[in-house]
Amino acid sequence: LCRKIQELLKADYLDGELSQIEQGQIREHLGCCPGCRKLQEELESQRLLFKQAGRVSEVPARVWQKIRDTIISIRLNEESRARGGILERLRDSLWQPRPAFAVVSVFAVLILAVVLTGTFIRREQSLSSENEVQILAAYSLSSDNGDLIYDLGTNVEEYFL
Amino acid sequence: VEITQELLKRSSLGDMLAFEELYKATSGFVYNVALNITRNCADAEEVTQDVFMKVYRNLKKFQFRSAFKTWVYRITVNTAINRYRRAKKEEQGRLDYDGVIASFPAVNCAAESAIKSDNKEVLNKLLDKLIPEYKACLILREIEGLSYQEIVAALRIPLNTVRSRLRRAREALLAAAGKV
Repeated sequence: LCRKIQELLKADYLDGELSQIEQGQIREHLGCCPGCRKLQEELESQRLLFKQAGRVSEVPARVWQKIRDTIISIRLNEESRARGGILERLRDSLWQPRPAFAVVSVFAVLILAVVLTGTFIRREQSLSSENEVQILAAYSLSSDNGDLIYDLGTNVEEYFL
Repeated sequence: VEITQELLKRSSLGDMLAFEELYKATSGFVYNVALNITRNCADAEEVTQDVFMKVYRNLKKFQFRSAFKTWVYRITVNTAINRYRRAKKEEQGRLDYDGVIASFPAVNCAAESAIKSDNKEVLNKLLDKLIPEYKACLILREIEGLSYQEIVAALRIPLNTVRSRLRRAREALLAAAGKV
């Protein structure tokens, strides 16, 4: 009986988890059993130790400051990631690295290069032919354009002509 | 501060003032449970920070199936036990066990004056003899005043395990104090 009572003393009885009837039965036993009563007294003084020590202290203010700083830093990171995310999505939608697009892009670049090169060559050719005409005209003594570039400015020419 | 569903809702939506109110309402028991399990002020502060960061990250997922305080007790006990075990491992690399016991009165923090009272010192030396699971159970019962059912919910252990842990913890404390 004492063994069972002592088990209850160390848990349910001490913590008030027994019914009134059960508590009454145990109190009755304690009244006539010095061994169990001694254990009960020891357990009560142990409990008193907890009550006297009690809750220790206030939480230092720096704890909340650190928590708040950490949360703010997490939020800032999340916001910057969210902004970065929009730009990345936009870039990806414009620059999709798909093989079909890549082939089309290469052909487009080649065609553009050929067209531009052709235009440049034709322009160069037309410029050079214009120059030739001008040079020939300049050397022509008949000087259709009326310029007397090669006129020596003397009466000798007039004399021979 | 009363912990209402509205306060929890606002906190979960990122209202910093609401979260601060929640912190004020619960940080006392978080810190004290952590301090009693780890027996070290720096560790208790670290545990408190960890607990509130876990609460912050997971508050949206909190389903109100259990009381908010019970949920926080569970996070606190688990975080504190992990921290205590890690600290013990680190200590074992530097000091022998008796050295740790002898060094206990040198705990250094604002709470030191309270801890240094004779009873607290005796209690802490005794608590150090317990494995953290027993210690957590006893702290929730004796210091936080939780009922058996509340301990069951907080630690997610069966009722009979709560009983046996409390019984064994008390037996161990009596043995350590030379009372049995």
